[in-house]
Amino acid sequence: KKTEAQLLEKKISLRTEKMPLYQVLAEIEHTAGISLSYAVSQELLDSKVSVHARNRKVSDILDRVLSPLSLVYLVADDKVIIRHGDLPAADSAILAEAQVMVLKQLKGQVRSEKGDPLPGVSVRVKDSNLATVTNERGEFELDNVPDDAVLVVSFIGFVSQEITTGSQTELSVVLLEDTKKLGEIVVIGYGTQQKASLTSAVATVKGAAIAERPVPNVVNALQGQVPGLFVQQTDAMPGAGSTKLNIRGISTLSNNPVLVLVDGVAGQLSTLNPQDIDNISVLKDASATAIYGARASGGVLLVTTKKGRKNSKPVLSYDAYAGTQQPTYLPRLVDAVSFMRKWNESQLNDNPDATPRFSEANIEKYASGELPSTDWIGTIFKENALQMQHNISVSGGSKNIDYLVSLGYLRQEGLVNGVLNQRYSSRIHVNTQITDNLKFGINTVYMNAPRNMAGAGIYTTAMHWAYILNPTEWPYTPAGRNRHYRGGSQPVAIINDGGFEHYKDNYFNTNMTLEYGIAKNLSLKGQYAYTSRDIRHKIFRATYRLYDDEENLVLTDQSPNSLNDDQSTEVNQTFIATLNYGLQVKQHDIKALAGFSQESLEYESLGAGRKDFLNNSIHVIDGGAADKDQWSTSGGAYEWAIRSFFGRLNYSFKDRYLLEASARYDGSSRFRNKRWGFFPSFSAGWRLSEEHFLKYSGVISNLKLRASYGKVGNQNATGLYPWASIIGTGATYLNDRAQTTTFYNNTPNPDLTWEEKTTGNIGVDAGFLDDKISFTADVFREKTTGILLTPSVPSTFGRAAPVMNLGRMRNWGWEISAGYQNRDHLLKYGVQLNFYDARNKILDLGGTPDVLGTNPVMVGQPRWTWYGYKALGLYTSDDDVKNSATYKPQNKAGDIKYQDQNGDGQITPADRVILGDADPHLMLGLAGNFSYRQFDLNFLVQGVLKNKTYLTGYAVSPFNYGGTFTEDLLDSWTPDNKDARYPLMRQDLSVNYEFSDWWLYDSKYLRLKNLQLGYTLPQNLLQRLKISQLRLYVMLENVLTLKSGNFPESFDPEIDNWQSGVNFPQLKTYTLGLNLKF
Amino acid sequence: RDFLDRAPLDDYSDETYWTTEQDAVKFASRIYEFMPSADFFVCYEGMSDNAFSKTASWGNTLRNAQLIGNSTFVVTTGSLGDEWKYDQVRHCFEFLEQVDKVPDMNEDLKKRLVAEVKVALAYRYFMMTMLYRDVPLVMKVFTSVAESDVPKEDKAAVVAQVLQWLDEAAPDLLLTYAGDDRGRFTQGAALALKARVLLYNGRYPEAAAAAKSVMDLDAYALYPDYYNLFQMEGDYSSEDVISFIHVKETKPNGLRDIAGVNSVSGGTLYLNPLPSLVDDYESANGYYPFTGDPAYDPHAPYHNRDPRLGATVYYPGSILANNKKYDPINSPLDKIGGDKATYTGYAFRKIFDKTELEVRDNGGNDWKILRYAEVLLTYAEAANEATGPSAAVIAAIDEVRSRAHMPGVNETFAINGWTLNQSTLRTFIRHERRIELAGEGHRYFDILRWKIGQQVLQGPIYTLDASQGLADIDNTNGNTNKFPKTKLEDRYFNNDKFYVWPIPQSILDQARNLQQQPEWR
Repeated sequence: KKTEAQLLEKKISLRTEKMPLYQVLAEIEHTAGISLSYAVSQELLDSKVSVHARNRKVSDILDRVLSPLSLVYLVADDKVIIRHGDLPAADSAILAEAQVMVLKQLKGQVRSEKGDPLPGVSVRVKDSNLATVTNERGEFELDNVPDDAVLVVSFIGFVSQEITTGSQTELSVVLLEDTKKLGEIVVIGYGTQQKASLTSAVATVKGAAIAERPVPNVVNALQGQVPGLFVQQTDAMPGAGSTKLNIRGISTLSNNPVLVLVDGVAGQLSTLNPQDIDNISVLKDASATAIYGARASGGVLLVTTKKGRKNSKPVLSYDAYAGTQQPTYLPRLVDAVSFMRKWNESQLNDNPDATPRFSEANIEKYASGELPSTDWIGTIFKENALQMQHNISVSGGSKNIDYLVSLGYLRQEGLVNGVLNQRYSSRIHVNTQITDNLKFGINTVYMNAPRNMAGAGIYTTAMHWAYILNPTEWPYTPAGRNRHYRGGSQPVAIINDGGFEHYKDNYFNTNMTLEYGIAKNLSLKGQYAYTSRDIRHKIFRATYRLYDDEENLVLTDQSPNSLNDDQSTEVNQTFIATLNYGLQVKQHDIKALAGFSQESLEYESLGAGRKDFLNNSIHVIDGGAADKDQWSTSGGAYEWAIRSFFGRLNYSFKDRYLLEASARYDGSSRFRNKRWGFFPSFSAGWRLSEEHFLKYSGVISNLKLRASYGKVGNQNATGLYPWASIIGTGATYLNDRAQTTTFYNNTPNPDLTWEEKTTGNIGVDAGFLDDKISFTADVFREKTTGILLTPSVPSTFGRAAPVMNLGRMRNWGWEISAGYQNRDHLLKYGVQLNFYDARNKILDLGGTPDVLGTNPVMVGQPRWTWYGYKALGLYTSDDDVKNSATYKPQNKAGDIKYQDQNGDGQITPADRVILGDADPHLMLGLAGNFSYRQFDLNFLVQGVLKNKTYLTGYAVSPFNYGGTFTEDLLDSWTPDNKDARYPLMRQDLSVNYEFSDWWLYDSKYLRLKNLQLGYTLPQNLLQRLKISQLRLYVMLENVLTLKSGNFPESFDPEIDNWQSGVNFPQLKTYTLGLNLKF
Repeated sequence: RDFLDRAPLDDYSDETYWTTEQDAVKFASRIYEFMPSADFFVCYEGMSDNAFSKTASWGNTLRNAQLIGNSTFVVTTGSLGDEWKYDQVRHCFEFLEQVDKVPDMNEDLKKRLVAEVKVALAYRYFMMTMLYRDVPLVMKVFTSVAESDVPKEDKAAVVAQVLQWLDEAAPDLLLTYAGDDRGRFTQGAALALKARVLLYNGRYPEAAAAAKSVMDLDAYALYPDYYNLFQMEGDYSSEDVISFIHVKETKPNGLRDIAGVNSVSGGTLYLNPLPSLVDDYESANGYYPFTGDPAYDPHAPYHNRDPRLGATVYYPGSILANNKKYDPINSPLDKIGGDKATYTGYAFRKIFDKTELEVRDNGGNDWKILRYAEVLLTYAEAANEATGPSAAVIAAIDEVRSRAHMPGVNETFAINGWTLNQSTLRTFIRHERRIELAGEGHRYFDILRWKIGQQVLQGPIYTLDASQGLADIDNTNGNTNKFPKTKLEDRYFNNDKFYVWPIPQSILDQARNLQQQPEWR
């Protein structure tokens, strides 16, 4: 927010003829958007004044108006106070005037809706010269106030209030934020901009929307928040899950990840404490991103962290939640009897002469309960796991310094025993104004994230095991020892006794800025950031024993025991210098920015291992065998660098015709001969609502058209050194000894250069009915050329092709967001909907052949599409098989029947066809908020309305690796169940599991991502406890999911394509939390 | 240096390579990684009538051997491209084109390395011609992608090149190596491979001559103990001509999982010997079929047999490596058709490393790619085909049989009442070859070249037949010693197209000048 003092620089036009001074001042307040406090006699306020000013600074106008009356204005603590010029300067206290009847003293406090005290608020008695401003604690005091006085409380960015004081002497005033948000500031590349004057496609997510969610990783709180920002959580393993993130869909055949910048410096969302975030800007079109040209092809997320506020008393906040996590969906595996019967049935389906594996007598033992049927999912997974987070922060500021200190702790236990993800984080952010024109800031983060996994390696395989184990087995011998499984190990033993895998992630980042005002309109800013990330990774494979039911030792597993202790260090350094210039001439407003930046990263790793520890109790290298044959070492390193020059020019005329141009010139270490790339962009905006024909419209309160066009780049070739011919090493074992061998590891391309994406965007921002209704829509069209592609080459070439600048692709789409917000009543409520989609098409592969396959790369098709046999259904009878083209000689009734596309009487690869898109479409998010007195209620619904997912392995087929299957598969074809979802159950999976659209599931879904009910304790209660705010809440995350009946019951619809069901499921959480402020 | 100049930190780059002899040695030595390891080559057993590989529900383990064995594979079936290896060809030519860059290199060493690389090239092209018949003959390092889109060459031309490489290589290779060179291609390796190439291509007189040239080197002798030859003690033996070296700790083979009995090493036992193989072993006295032996006892069919049966296969009543009796009829872990147990009633013993059983997947025994017994049998087959029975042919076969403690050819023919002529000897040599080389992956190639697929890879295959009860299996305490002969699956080698593998669809898709085999279009 701009201070009042800064607003004095604003230029306004004003024309009054012999108007009382107080009215003139009110007009100035209104036009300039400032509030003035005055300590002036009523007499003078009533003096008639004439003003003729055109586009003059407020300060000049005030001078002109006030000086004839011997009045002056002064700025103190960012307040503009008007007083008599002949008073001693030291006496800046607010004066009372004799003309006003002395009746009472009025005290009060002004707070924001959230309960924060608001300092600097103007409090004025209407139609008088009695006025003051609130102090640091938001308190004010007025003497000599008439009994029936009306108080006018106003503050920039908030809705002014008039309060009839009646006979009260103490007031508590709550100011509401101005919903028009005309002054809303948006963080953009290397700066900020008024939302009103933006010409590019930028969306923002407020820090509160992230901090209030019980998600360990920030990225998962972004889902459904902003149109065009796609998030899909495909695996939710604590601390190690995977989430897909893209902005505006797929625009390349290579990989253009979203560029994440934290306080201006490239970083990762995973290293952020969600509580520290003030704001996230999502830069979508080229006009917004071209200033980051180099790596902006996937869009940019600008994260701004919180800071303290100058001139504000210290506030201590404590925010915490705790709750339980449960899986949204877990595989539901069949019981022993179903398993045995289906096994036998499938054997006979393959081979009617087979001897079924399980005898009726054996099955009866399980049916009668004589032998247990084991739910291995239940032995591996817990039903509930704790998750909690605590955060303490202190922030505040004095005249020259603002500060914020924040400490956070996250604890997320795993649903698999022994899995634990923790994060300790701290942040210190201090800014100081050293002299009038020199400012220094430092923002330092340290994070330590230990992550434990049970039984070395089990965390990735716990789900595998659950499928592979047969329900006819059990984990413990009668004496309670670990029971062997098929003569080998089993997961319960591995989890409990197999050792551990630990990660310790140490993240340190310090970000320093120095800002120097060279001249009134010219400033220089330097920024240096140092980030280091050390990851320590230890695996201890403990030796343990497995027994049979007669308590005989069957196997000593993981013998000898072993330890691997690896450490890696990554250091990233960024230096940025920017020069800012601003000029206002009449109604022309020009801003210019020029900058330089360079960034480098160095990575090193070193590891050691030993085997044969005396026992399982020592987990340090020295505890291992002295014999050097039991030792091992490893190490590696890489580095890269990028250097850039960039600039931006903004021009606006009359605040309504907006033009912007920006460009970046980038050099990357990943390229050799063609290292540099140039990425310009242009955009324009027209604020129709500022034009005369709309300015006074009662319906349309805001209307802006935007258009942009520009180019961004991508350097994500395979590998960091695609220009270099690299010699790889291997080992061969002549004479039983490892001997180094070498080979050419790649095909270099020293002429490789930037991939370019050209984007056009047209958008509209609108507000209706005093901006109660807001609406934003964008359409975009992108074309990526010179794609960094490793093209398909004939096998006879003998090696993968070099990465080449080949291929063209188009991506286009639309985004809509619309909202309604009502704050006029005690019941305040709002809803915000966003809806978006993007489509892409490959235009050219540089003459190289299409890459066919289940997800082919074909000219004229989208990047992700399904290609395979078209299923006509299941063969209804053996006659049906005889009369159709068949795929396998074994085919019989119940197998999948494919369409013979070319009619040659056989099913061959020539019969494969495109079967539809393989990436999600029609994404939506719907957020709602309600508040009534002390209660607030928020919800977020998120969904994907069109998607087809292909699952493999355990997820769709039985008996993988001799294992079991999900209950979904019980609906397989039998002569009595011809309308089955699954084909004839066979042991031989080569018959029905060739890819066809039979295996595509409709994976659309709608999900209640978040539901939150809060209660803020009333002020009068808290004051006695010297607490300024206390809010308690209940929060439910992911508790309700609607998905297609076609989708397997066992899986979450966000599961990724090609998954076999071993991904860790999404989590739903039930939490209780509190926000406390002193 | 420029801020943006960042070179690889942990990889060597071409700019500084080819400066020392060791650079050349290391680059050349990569070819030994190209040779077939145990886990790779043993899969061919499952494609033949020697074994059944139950893998269709176990993912692609064993290279889809079940689908190739029962001829239900299609052109998109995975693993059909396993032997289509032009990356190896490229590596070899990169060596041949670059080795001259090394300054002051010892000429003998250079010649030897070039010869080793030529043997590797020969092996690769030979395997490709065996499976895919006509293949593109790449003879250089392609510098552009465009020029690499080449059509197929006739098999005969490729084979001619293979033989030329082997002829060029042989004189430059050593007869034996010492120290850390043990395991490299020897002169015998080039010549023995040449003999195999000629035999597999039906060029019998030349094959016989090539095999004879190996025999005349006097560098090889059969290892006295047939079983131990395949154990670690038989590594680098007098019988090894080409081996893939496995080392227990650092480069183990996975045979103890692939072919291991579950109750011994926790093995998964993907690969099960078929009764078709077990029944092919003669009786100890040479009766063939063994049921013709007057001493034949239907309750003890595995007694009194060619000792190589016991060395090669675990059958009901065998003593396992852990000294327990193998009972695939009653043992909970090893029961036929059980999960991770045998499907046929048998398991391989010959290739299974018997030491340190507690470590499941680690076998340290080398894989015999080519051994002297095969050279002798190549000689016998080729010479018989070229000129008919002779004393030299019989001597070669007898050398193999006597090491196995089996009666000689004449004695065996006499006992069975056979007349010795080219045709009967051909049948006998083919049988001898199957028995001697069982479990080593060669049978599938013999089926392809003898064109006997329709006879041996078509129709149902079965479990063992213990319907009469086995004397070695305890039938008290609720156990049984009987198991009925049960069908395992149908095999569909009903078309000549199965004598050649299709070029995998994914490889065809990458090239424009490469055409699918006519039978697979």
